[in-house]
Amino acid sequence: MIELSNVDKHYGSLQVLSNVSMHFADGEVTAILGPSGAGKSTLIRCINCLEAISGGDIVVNGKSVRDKRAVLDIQKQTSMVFQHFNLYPHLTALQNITLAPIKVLRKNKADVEAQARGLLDMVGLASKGDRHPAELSGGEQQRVGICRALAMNPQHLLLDEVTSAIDPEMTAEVLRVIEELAGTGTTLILVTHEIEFARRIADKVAFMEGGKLVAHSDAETFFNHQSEERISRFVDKMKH
Amino acid sequence: MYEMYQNVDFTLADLDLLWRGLQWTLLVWSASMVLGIGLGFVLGLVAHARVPVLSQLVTVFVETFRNSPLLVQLFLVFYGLPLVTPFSPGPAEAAIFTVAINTAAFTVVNLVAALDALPRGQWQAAGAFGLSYGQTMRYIVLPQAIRTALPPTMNLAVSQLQTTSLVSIIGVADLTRVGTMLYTRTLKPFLIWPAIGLIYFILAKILSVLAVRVERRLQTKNSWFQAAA
Amino acid sequence: MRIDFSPVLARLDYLLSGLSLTVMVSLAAIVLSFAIGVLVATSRISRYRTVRILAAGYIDLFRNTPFLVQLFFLYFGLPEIGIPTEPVTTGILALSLTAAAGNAEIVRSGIETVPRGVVEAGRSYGLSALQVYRYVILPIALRVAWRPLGNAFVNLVLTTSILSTITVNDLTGNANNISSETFKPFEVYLVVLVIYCAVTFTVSAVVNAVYALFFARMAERPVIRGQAA
Repeated sequence: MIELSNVDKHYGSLQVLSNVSMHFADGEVTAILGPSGAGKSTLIRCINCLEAISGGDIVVNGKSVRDKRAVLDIQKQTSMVFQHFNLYPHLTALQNITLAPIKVLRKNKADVEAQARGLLDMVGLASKGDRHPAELSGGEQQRVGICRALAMNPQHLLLDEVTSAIDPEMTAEVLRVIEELAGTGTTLILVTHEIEFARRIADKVAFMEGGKLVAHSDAETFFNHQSEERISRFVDKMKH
Repeated sequence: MYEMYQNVDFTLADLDLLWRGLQWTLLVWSASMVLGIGLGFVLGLVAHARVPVLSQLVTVFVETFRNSPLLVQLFLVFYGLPLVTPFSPGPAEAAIFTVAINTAAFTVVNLVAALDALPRGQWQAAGAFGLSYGQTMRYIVLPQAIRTALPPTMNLAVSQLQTTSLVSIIGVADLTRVGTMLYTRTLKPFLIWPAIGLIYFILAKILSVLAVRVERRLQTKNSWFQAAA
Repeated sequence: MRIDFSPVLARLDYLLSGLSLTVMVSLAAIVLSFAIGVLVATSRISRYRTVRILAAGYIDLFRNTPFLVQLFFLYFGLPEIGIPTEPVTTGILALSLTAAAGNAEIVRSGIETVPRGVVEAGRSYGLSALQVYRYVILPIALRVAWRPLGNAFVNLVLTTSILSTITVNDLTGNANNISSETFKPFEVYLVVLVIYCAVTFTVSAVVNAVYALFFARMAERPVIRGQAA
């Protein structure tokens, strides 16, 4: 469970998040939509403790991101998948997946490798575990990125525009993997521009603009009974 | 007893000694840089032109002198040459000659790398206009290659200043030699070597600043030249 | 005078015993200078200002003063403050300290090529700062730094010859002895020159083999295919 209360974030005089309060329930799939520069990515980066918040508080399972000693615990419970994959270029796909479970969770290497092979199989890359990132396509790299996050057995998965850096013909396979994760009990928070995809899998939708949370409701209400003209227009535009 | 012969005081004469040492260091350095970079330039052109036999000889020369210690090269020239050739160079001549040869070897590498880095299209274009090898080299290829080779060669020159300290070992009265002289007289290594080091340090800083300035000057000249062309 | 290698070849075993010390000293200094170099490189980009300044000062100092002066300072200076010195260990120490300054700059520029996002990914999954360095940053940086480091290692091997000036009986030291015994300096130093070339070619070959073995499979640059511009 993740609870944001009055979160503020600024870089110098630039306000990136202002007074954001919201709640992510366990097992729920939330899509965060909004124009570029709305603060969506910053929001989930703050949840993952990659960036410090300037004001307010974020509490993950009772632990505050402001507490330095809680950072590791929070990071173990929230795993991030990055827009630009950020795979370790010097390691094979398999090693990319097993590094953190072995070094951070101190798990047995053989167990982790078995789990990693299972994950690679699930995303359709069973034969590519020994490839280095440079030997994989964008879509394949991102699926490895998802496996890497899942290998931490996180309670919450944070997905930061995971298909926007991939060739269009490769996005489907990545989206399929995410779709399979929905409803497995893992909380998914996805920042995305794929409106159709969000409509299909999201339980809740949040809409952000200019660092503010403009709307946060269940997906049905958001898409079918949108009262804000501005949001409807944005959604319509994003469909194409 | 020993203490009696130890003259621990520094005098004005020591400053004069340092000043002369500094002059020797700068003389050996500047003479060997001019000769070495000049020789390296010529040899680099030979190596790049693939002149039969000559090019191979240059390669052997370059690899030998890049892959052996300057100190051994100094000994070979200073102690070795007089016994097998009619030449018997004094310490300063041997020093300048050896540092120059050593510098030439590295300069060849810089120049050849710069020449090889130029796209083949430049040569073909020049050929299409009917320019000869010499003309293409002089007006098209060299101006660009020199610009590429200049920064590493100037770095080399700045770092060769430190290398010249080795000439003290064959008896050139450079800064390091003066340091040894002062050390054996005063037995104050903890004071003398940092002082000598400091002089080299200041010299190196001055040379780096000059190198950056020269580089910038040539860079702007060249861009003007290219814009006008 | 006639060139005659036989007196030198008769003492080849003595020369080779000097070579074994050269190899030993080189290996020790390569390992040590690498370790210190990595330490200084990481200090150079530390988030603490004081640490950064100290590391920058260290690099600046050792790169802009002659090795001979550094060596004399340590060898003759340390006893003055009560630390006894011995030629071989002092030589290894001096070599390591000076080579570390160069290695630090090479490793630092390697570290600067590591993409931010990759480092962030490591942090994101809870790796500690030290783990991120050890498992992510350094392996990527070393790939870029490896060939320049190889050149630095060759340079270090050549620099070991200077230890002969503080009575280390390395290849150059033993060559000096044979030269004064046989009065055949030209032949002695020529043979030694060739031996040094053989050693440095071996070092280069090992460096290339290590590269092929550990680094070749990574992308030329850690490019992410399909990344939006």
